[in-house]
Amino acid sequence: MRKVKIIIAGVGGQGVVFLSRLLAEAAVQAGEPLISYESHGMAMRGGSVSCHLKIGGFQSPLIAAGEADVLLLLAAEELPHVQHLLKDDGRLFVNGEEAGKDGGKGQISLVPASAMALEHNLPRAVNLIVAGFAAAHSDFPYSVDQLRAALEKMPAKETIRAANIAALELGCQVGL
Amino acid sequence: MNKKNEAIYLGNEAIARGLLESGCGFVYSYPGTPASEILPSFITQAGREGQKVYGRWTLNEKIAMEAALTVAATGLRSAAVMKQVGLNVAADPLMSGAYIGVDGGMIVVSADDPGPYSSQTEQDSRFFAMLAKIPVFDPSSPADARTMVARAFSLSEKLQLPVMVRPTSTLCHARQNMSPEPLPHIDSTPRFNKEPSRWAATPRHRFVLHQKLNRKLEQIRQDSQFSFYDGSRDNRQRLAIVASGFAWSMTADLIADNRELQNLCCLLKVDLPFPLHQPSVDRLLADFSHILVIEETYPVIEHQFGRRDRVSGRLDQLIPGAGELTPQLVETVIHRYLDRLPPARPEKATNVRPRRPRLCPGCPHRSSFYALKTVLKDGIYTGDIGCYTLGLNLNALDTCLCMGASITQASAMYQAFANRGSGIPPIAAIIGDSTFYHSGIPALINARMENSRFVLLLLDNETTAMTGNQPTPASGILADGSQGLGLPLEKIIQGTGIAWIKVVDPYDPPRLRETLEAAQEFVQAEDGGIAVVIARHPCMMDAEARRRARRFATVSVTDECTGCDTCIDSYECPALEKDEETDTVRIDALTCVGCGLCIDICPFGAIVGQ
Repeated sequence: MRKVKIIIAGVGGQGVVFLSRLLAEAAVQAGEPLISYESHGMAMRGGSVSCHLKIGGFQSPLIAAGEADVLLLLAAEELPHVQHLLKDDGRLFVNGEEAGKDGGKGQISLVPASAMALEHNLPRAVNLIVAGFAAAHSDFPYSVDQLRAALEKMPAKETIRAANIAALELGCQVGL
Repeated sequence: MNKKNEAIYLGNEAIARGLLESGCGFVYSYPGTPASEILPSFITQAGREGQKVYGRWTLNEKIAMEAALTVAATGLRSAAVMKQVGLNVAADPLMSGAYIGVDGGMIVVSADDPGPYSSQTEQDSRFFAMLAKIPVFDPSSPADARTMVARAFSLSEKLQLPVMVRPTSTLCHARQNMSPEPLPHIDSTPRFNKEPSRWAATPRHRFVLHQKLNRKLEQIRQDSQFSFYDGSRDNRQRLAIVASGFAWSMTADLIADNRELQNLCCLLKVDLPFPLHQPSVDRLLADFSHILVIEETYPVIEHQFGRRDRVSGRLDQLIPGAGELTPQLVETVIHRYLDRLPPARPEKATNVRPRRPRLCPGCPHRSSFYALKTVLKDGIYTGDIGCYTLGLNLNALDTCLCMGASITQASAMYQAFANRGSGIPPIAAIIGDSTFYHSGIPALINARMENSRFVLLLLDNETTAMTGNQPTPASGILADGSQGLGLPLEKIIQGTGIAWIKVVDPYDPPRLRETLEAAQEFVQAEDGGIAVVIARHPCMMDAEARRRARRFATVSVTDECTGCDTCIDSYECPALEKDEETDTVRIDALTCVGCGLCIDICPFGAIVGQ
């Protein structure tokens, strides 16, 4: 059984928690045991939000510093709060136009998801653009097909589901 | 591949699942992070599977506790669900309910918030269980919580005693995959056996009930189902680590990853931290010279060991006495205890502060706070618990004690200055609608009785916003969506005898300012008293309200912006951002809801709406 540790971070309102649920659903569909953690309450009011996901038979969802394999970042300015969690050779997928000035560790791939969301009139789907972009890379734990299948399984209004799938595919095209 | 009907459960949903699978038909709760999702999930899951249940939000936790204890007195299974500070409010019926006991199984779910993240304290509900003398389970994961709810019901019914299940916020908000069981058929009917020496016990009978309670606890202390150490150990292991709940999970993951620790440490999981299984304690003390206790948040298990010379944890300050446990902290503690250096890990950046929570874009409270500090300049603003505690960021809220305290604090401030001061500053109490129903009503009656004078700014967004928009008693909508009997705020306030009541929409700032001015005039008038301003506008978490909030297609900043930051500092809308390169403000179109309330804030008229 593979073991994967993922961090998703951003700002309240960006859909960090939704993305965490999506990856959890993908794990279940792949028959992998998972445990994850998300912030609720006060933090949801525009504060820093991060989710931890551990796939492959763990007791606790919390990821210790230096142990995350993958980091999905919906707001580039949140990097300093979560960067320490990433492995030295970890993988980052970031919503941003340019890499941080201080470089940092790990292999980073950038996608201008906020600009794309505005351009394509998908203002609430920045999260799925980043997810689709990440999933187009072979070193992300789930493929775009797996994420699409998970989206279809999750309860949602048809219009919202369609927008989410469109955003996922939009991100994927940029990532390929 | 995917196991049959396997699904992902949030910790709180797993607790709700446990309640349903145990045949519990009655759940009472007051919303509070981290426990808010338990009741809605209980109702939703039951509805989906055709199980008839009764789930209700109550005005406060005391009512929830009293109702659940009473339903259990008729032989049915029930639960009271709340967050840890809610348990303070429900303490009175709990203490008494422990003596009296129950007929049907009754459990109290009290969710703690180590950190704290969304609470006033880090208090440990397990100590409350100890004080009340009821057993408490400490689950380690969502799946464990689901199982423990079932065990708690069995124990409760067997010993006719309320039993607590204590999750922590990380568990409540963890997700895990599990396979649900079908729901049992509930065929029990209520019967109330009159037994005055129990249900209405006088002090003399209370003494007898107390003795009986002590015997029940003694029975649990010896019950082998709660054994956490049976004497089997690897002789190389020189340290016993006793852990419970989420602290156990973190420790288990850490040890599973480290062969050296596996050889040195014997990790033991306690399911029931109080009363602690006595034979396990005795065996452990006989087999190990050193025992380390890792638990959250207070030293409940550690206290029960009683051997300060051989047991380490929070009492000898090996583990810090405040704050939540993290994997790194647990790792450091274990290594320090073994006189070893913990492995090097990357440090968290210390020069950056996480983004602080703020009111949502378009939040009507922001406009209310701005008007308040403009009109009641240099006043004392006593605050309360809810989203609007964030008025702190806007310098428009000075206190936050506990639910409902704002009104009494305003009243007592007034009396302090009126009786001993040389002048009375403007005083305003700020309270939300749901908090007012929870515990503001007796406070208001009391303040009027004392003839206190202040402005009561009632922020009415017609919902319980902070915890996920549960309905309030104003609408009378019940937790399952059915219609009960509502009671508008105005009627209650009229009923207290207060006559000066005005309702105003904070989306109309000039009128709001005028109203607050008139309110303060009344407070200072010769025959004045308490003036109540109800600032009513729906919460922006509601999609329809958000749509209606848009009065401009775009709100933007012109070249007139001088970068003075007035808008950011005094209004703090998340859509207002500082562009560090140009040193001016810009508006993030993805965040902005188009309300345009910030337009009037700019001293240079640089914010415009189109």
